[in-house]
Amino acid sequence: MIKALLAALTVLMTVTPELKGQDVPPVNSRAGLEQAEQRKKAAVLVPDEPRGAERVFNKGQDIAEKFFYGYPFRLHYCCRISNLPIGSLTTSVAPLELGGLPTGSGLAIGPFAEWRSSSDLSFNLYGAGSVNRSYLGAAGLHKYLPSQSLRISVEGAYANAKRIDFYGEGPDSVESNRTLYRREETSATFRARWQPPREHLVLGAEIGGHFYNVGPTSGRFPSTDAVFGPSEAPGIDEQTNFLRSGAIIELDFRNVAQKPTKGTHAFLGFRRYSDKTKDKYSFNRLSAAVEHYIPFLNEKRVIALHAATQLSYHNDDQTVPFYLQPTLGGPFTLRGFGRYRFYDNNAVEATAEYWWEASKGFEWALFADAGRVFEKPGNIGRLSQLKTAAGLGVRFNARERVALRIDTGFSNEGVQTWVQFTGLF
Amino acid sequence: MGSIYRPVLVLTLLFWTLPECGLSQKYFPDDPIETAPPPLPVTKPFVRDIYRLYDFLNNSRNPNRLPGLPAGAINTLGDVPDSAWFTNRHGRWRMSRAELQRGPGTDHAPVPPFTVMGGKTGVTPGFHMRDSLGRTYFAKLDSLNYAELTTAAEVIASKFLYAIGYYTPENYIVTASLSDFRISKHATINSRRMTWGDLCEILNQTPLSNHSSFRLLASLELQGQAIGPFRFKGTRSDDPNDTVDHENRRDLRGFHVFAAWLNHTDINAINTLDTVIHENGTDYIRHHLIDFGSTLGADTTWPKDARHGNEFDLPQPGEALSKIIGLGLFPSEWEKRKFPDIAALGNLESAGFQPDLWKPIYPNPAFLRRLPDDEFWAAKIVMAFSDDDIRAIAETGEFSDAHVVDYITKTLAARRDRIGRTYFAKVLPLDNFRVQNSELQFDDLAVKYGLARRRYYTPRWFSLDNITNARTPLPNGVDFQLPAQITNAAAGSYFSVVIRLAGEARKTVAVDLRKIQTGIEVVGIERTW
Repeated sequence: MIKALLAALTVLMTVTPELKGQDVPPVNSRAGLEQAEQRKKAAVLVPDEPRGAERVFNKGQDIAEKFFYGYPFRLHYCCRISNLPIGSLTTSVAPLELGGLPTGSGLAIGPFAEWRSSSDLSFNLYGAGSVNRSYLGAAGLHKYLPSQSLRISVEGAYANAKRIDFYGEGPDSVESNRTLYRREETSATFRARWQPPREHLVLGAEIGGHFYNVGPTSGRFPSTDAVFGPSEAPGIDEQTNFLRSGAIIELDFRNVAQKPTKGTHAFLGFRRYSDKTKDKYSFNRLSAAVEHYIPFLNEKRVIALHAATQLSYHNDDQTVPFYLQPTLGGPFTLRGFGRYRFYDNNAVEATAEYWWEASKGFEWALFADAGRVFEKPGNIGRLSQLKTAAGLGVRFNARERVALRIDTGFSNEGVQTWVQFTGLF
Repeated sequence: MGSIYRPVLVLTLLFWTLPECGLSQKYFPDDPIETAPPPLPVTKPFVRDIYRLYDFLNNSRNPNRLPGLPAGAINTLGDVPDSAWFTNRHGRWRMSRAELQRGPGTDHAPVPPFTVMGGKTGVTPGFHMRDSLGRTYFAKLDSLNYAELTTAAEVIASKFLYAIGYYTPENYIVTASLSDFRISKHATINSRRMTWGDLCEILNQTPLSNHSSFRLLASLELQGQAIGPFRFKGTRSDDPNDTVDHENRRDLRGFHVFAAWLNHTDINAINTLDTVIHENGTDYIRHHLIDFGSTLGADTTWPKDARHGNEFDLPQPGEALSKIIGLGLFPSEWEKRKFPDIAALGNLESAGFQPDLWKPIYPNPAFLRRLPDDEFWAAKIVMAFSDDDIRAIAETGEFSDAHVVDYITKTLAARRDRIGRTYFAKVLPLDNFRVQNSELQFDDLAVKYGLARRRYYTPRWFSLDNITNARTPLPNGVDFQLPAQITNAAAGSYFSVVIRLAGEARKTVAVDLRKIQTGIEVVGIERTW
């Protein structure tokens, strides 16, 4: 028995390395010692698979990625597209993009699907529903002409905003007059956007039909039509359809569009709303906005300055319907006031923010807002009835954008806290 | 007969287990080894990805230094033998200017036309493509406001790290025009078919040079089958050659010094890649570093965030709290640092550089376990790069403004010197031990590189028992002349000299010598600090 074992061991010792085709260093050597370690490990190899917490985490991330980025459906955040109700010419940088639900509709998510041909013709669809039962459906056909840097789109959308606040027109509107109305907008628009590569210029134009339906709603506050008549809320008693056309020009010298820390951005836009049904609500809207960012301490502190205005021009026999008037108050302007707190034909507002980065991706902000609404464009320079607010905010930033913004604003009407998944301007 | 075989069996078993028994023997005849033993073959290694978020969270749990075990994967001199991880290059023998500039290779520059096989959008847009010879490259671009920043950093860092000793891809700066590209009908982007418009949108985000062409970084696909990144902790359980925990490997611990020098802030598992190489009839795993967009003054397509290199992305509670409470009115030192206003360079400086305090974006387990001898090993390699060497590699960034090369050279030279000052002060920086004319000679690297004035060391000589590791003092050894006991000793005898510096009681270097037929060789070095 011992003899057999000895013979087997001898054969094993002699043959095994050669069977593996290896150059075997002498056993009494450093190389031999290290290779003995290797052979010892070779006898117990197992697949190098993730285990324990890593395995669970990876599974979760796989599922999340498929859910958010899988083809052809993905979740679409219905974040702010404009800082004003849909349909207004906005002061944001993306007035020609497919719209989302108006601010105040709550967090809205829904499926998004896109089909794109090899010739850069794409068709997309998305629908979104929000926590307060507002919803949106949209479809777009887009053609990108790379050689001309031109994007042409035909878009259709239907948005039903369940509850939008209205306090009456003008800077003297009373907080206690808060009412709610529902607004439906159906639109079909042709758009073109020209953004020459490597330039700071963007030009855009649009024309389309916009059909509004404003009506009563239910909620904690009275319906607007029960409190305000047509003279106080023009257009509340009758629906109309508009042919809307317009153009924009932007100059963008910011270092990043979504979360800039330096540079300047200017926007100028014009829209013509032609009332095709009643011939009572036609007007022109001129919008302008400018932002400037002053960084210091290696961009870990930034002073952000912003000013914007929206001016409405109309003939004496025409008027601006209240649901297309500029508004102030909410998560983007006069943050110490309620959402849509002030309505009028014209608005001007300014904001100054001081940002300081507490850690990577986590930033604090002190801010001061000012603004006023007014009836006639010529009154833009009057500072009486200027509304002001100030506050403190925190922002969680992804690399090129604000992922979450929580601002608390203070004003003479109290305290407001806003949770947003987008930046301020 | 059985009684005869029994002792033979015992002896055989003893012989069988000799490698393990040999652990008690301090030196083997082949010490110090310069090359790791030939790898054993791997079969079907698991293709494993590592998720950045998991890696970030997992490693951020413990951001504190954990100095512990002495490093592994070293030879008895404390150097790293050539292996599938590291190959000694400029630190062992001086590479010529041409070799430094060549790096891992310059013979496989992509040849147009290029067929784009897929792309990605987002913060770092790019694509992968095949050239007309069928070779695959990963292409990255500079961003509009920072021409040359990313592409140059990628190339320069890859060549530095190659010269240091790591495996890096061949990176090329390519000037191309739109007409050089085609789109494969199988190309995808964002989980859908990639179109010409997608490519244009990616390329529109990079600046033009000469009005119609643009510059891109083309990184040649690594040789072998990719099986995912390596981790900076533990070992691969399916690689027989991976026997030393990665956090204890000197070539990974010491990488902290190289990363600090080159400001490689995004050094983590995600930016590594293992591939299965077939060489000399054996499949084995080679470990590469990839993606150097966050080196020097770059953070991929942006200038380096001033925080990077100074704080982890996930801050210590105290750091964040002070910033919150202080309304940002009490800036950190790094927030006040000045960087040159050079777009192609980004944020790179040397005045505030503190090598030992430098941090990657998130904690790296190997870095946290580094010891002064790990740092010394790396620092002496860094110090081997002369100003001219640095300039030679900086030139491979192909900057349009020659002043950028000047600045990088000056800055990396200054950072190099700070590394030398920092880590040569932690141990006795003695190296290059040799016996000449019956005298033990060595270089004081701090003196050699002008970081300290000439100093005088005192030796104490011992005979060394190679089995018990016991040192017995030799009575006659008072200077660096070899005592007569050594010169008269028989071949195979071992001796040791422990070197000290007055006033630095804890710092010693023990140099072990072996008498051989032809003279005396240095066989081992141990440092205390």
